[in-house]
Amino acid sequence: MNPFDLVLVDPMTNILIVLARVFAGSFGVAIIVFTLVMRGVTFPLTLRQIRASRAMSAIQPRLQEIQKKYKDPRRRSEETMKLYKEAGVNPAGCILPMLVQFPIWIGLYRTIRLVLGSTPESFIGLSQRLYPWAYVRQAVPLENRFLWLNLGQPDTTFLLAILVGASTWVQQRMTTPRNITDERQQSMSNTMMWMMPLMFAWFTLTVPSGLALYWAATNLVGIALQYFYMRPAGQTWREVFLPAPAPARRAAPASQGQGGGDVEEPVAATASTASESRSKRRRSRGRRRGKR
Amino acid sequence: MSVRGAALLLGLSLLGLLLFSACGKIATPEGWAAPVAVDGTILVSLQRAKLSAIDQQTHQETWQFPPKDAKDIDLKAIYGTPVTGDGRVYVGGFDGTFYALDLATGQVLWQKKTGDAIVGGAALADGTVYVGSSDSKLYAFDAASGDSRWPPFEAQGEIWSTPLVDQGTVYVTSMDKRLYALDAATGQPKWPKPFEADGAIGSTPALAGDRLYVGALDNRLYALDKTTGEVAWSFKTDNWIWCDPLVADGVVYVGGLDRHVYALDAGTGEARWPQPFSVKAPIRAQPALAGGVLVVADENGEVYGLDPATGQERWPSVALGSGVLANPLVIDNGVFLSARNWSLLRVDAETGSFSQVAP
Repeated sequence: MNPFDLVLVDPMTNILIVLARVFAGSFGVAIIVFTLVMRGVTFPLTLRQIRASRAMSAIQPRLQEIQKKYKDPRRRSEETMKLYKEAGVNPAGCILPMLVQFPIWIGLYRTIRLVLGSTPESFIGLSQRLYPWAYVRQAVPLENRFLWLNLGQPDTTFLLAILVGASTWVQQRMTTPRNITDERQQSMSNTMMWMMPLMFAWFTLTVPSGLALYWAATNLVGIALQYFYMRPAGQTWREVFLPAPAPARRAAPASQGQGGGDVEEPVAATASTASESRSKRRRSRGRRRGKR
Repeated sequence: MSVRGAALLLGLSLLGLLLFSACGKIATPEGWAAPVAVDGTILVSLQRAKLSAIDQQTHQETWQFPPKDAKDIDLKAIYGTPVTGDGRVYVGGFDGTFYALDLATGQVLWQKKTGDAIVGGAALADGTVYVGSSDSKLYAFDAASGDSRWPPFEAQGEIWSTPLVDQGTVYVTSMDKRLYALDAATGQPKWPKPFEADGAIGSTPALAGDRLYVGALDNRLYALDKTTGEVAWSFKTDNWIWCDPLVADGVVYVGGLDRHVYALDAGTGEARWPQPFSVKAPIRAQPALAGGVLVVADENGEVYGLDPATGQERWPSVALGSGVLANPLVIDNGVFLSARNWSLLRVDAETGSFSQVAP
């Protein structure tokens, strides 16, 4: 058997069926509960992503200084890495949660195709994937209707595509630093801001709506987490929808955060603050050990 | 995030989505209609969503439904075995439409739309044709005109099996885990309450004597009293049973999705063989008895010839090269199998040799 199926698709299939049976056979509710569980499991990664993203944002002016100052790529790279180390920033921290999502999407896609049995043949395949538990085996077939959706088929009403696109946009908006000073970076950020939601909206029209329901649910949970736990101090909903401030022509080396966006502290201060806080944590740990 | 970081993220996102989109499209229904022989003609599906009539002697196609020029008819797939009577062929499509065709020409005589896909076959008795649909309803149509005999009987789940008609009673199973016994003339339930298994029922019941035999998705084969629906015995296997049981000489033969063939005493449910016969893949196609050999085909297209009394192999298994999900057709010593690659093959039950009949 395919190791991907063994490790991911089969457990996911059985978990979703158990959840569906717990929730009166509704596969839609099972997907939403599964989303909450997945968000819970990946919460430390999400937190890490947000922190890494903020830290990266904070050291931007310093990075730009390095770009300008060192023309030799090797030296520039060394200095950049040094800065990352100094500020305690790991660029991979921004990408890891996104990467973790991919196998989940692919697994869920295959699970939905299997479980919702849009064809009788798929049931034969499903019989070989279920664990030998009566609770799971007797739960099939599951209700594939949820709200207006047939979860095994793409949604043709465009409502889910709009929901997925809009929620992706809001989440992007909340996680992207507002006060980007570099024009190129701002341009890239704007492209991402529109491209990702459009791409996901388009995918929603082509994949089973059960998967798109997962996207919508995970986005909404992400927005809630972002707003209640990780938003920059003082940011309001209104500010999420306001256009980003125009980038300065030249990078401001020590610009203070504007409005309610991510706070962009002076580079040196940020780096030193990050190292200071690490030193403080180390000192604090040392004191605790000493007390013991 | 730096420009490089954003570009990396964007690139990875695109890569991931590309990978994700490469996982495949929404599953396409294939169909598993069994071949049927009538008046020197074999009706068989040789293309997805197409029914062909081929001459039994020459193997030449006489007509095809829908015809090549019929752009407005798309059955999507054919799962139910066609049933014939009075010069007509009755067949349901995965598009939810039920058709009555002229047996000689394949022309549509009448058609009726149901609320969802038709997966089971039809049963014909006393001028009425009965067919179930995924809209959970069992329909009874006048065989000649297509008029409804009675308002559709509504089950709680999809009907994916072929109804069985016997002495004025229609027996039909549903994915709602139940087997219903209905008055063939009125559609009213005959039993005080339907039989209820612990899992959905996708297979068609078999009738022998006063017993009904049916497999369920709770891994069990049930023997029921046909007048009351009470369980006489049940036999547990290791996976779902989606195969239509075959009853012959007091023995029930059934294949399981657990890759075993079972032979059970029809009266008691006791195993007749020392151990079930193991095959290489799940079995959905009904076993067939021909020339004193029990012929079984699995999902991978491996065909086995067994001694019905002992379960021992009569000849080494043969590989057809394509899986079999459709029930077989027996003509003399030949077992005709409709393979998933849309070919019709004839297996000689005595020797195990096989040949392609069509296309």
